Amino acid sequence: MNVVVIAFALCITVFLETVLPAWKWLAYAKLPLVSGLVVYYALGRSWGLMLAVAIVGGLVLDGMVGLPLGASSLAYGIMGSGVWRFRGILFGGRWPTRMILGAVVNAGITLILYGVLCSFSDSVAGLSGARVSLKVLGTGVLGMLALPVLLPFVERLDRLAGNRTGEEESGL
Amino acid sequence: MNGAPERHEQGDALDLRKTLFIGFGLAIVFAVLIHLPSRATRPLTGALRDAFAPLMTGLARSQAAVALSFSGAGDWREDMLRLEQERDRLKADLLRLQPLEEENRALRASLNLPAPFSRRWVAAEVISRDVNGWWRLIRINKGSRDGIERDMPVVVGDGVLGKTVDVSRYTSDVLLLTDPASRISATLPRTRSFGILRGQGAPIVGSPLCLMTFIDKNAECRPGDEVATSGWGDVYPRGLPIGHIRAVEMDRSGLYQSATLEPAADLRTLRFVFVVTDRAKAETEPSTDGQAPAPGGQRP
Repeated sequence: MNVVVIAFALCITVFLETVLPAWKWLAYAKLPLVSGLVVYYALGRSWGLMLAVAIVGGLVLDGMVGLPLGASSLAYGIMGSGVWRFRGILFGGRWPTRMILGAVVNAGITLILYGVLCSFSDSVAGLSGARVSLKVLGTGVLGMLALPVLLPFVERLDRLAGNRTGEEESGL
Repeated sequence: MNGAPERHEQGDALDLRKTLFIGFGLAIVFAVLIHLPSRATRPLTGALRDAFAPLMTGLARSQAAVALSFSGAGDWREDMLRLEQERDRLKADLLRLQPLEEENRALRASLNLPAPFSRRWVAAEVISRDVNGWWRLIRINKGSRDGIERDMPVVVGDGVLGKTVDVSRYTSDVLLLTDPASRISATLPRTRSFGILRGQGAPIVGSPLCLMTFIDKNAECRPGDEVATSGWGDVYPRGLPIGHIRAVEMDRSGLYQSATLEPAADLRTLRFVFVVTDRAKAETEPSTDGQAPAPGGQRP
């Protein structure tokens, strides 16, 4: 059932992330949702499953939004691995820590993507430092708002599909 | 005595080594994948975009319907009346221009001049704006099935919008003229001088602008001057309006002038656009809905 849940959650998050408008006041940052899914699997599941979600989610999102194929996968993989490695010490399971985690992870993903995309596009390479900082900050803020909402939603989906039992320690 | 903890530590070290090894391998795979030409990845990305296209079109239409319902019935009636008046005016223009076009064609034929480049406008709906948040892209719901190809100009009623950069069967991505990667060969009809237009990105405050460079240093350009496509290059036909000059200044080198330009097209309220296709190519494709001939039948 893992595959069903992942496929369903990926379809919804990728679709929403593509169609929801960018936030002009946050340097055209977009609401990060696929990264939330990666964080969910990094916090409660194996490294392999997290990596699979990061790779597939990144590829699908890149294909949908016209980024070089694999750019988002790389960023998700790096940040997801970081979360998975330190999940025992950096996450308390309460909403303030979820918010901080959402901000840090998404800011990191935006920075990695900026580094990768600089070699592909004059539009990205020509961005000013202030603009990039605002975008990193903006994605961090949006991630801070999105992650605490997304985590319980995916966890519920996982439970409905029978991937988690009520008593099982979720790590979330 | 300490066998178990040692084995545990060895296991951890092995796990870390294995993780690093896999991570490093994947990083190499992605470094290669990222640098693949878009031609190689297009079948996959095109299929993905086409799969989601009906949903995106449905959502865009729902958003438009909701916006319309909030705008009020009074405005709607006024708009209807205004549009009817505009339609009648355009019909009258068409009646006036058709004989002129026929006359022009006959005169060109008698002088053995080649026929002007024939093009067709394909109407499309915007289904996503700021597609990825990194560059200025919009997505429309028409693709290769409708005769659209890469590097075709996209316009709205007011002027040039940009060009198609990525085309799948049912969708196309349009790079807006305000993106820093956009380049258009432009002309100032009043002074008959030329220049290169490039986007300045989307500012956080104010409307997006373009910069026209390499204008003849002796040309008498001034704010308010109209800028149009020059027709040089393979993408944009001659004479499409681009915008108006906002400010002019001499370049620091003193060799040419630069002008800041405000696009004629309102990039904030895009809903319908037209892709200017090559009629010769488009006519080989099956006829589909939403394809409209250019006003007057032909474009320069």
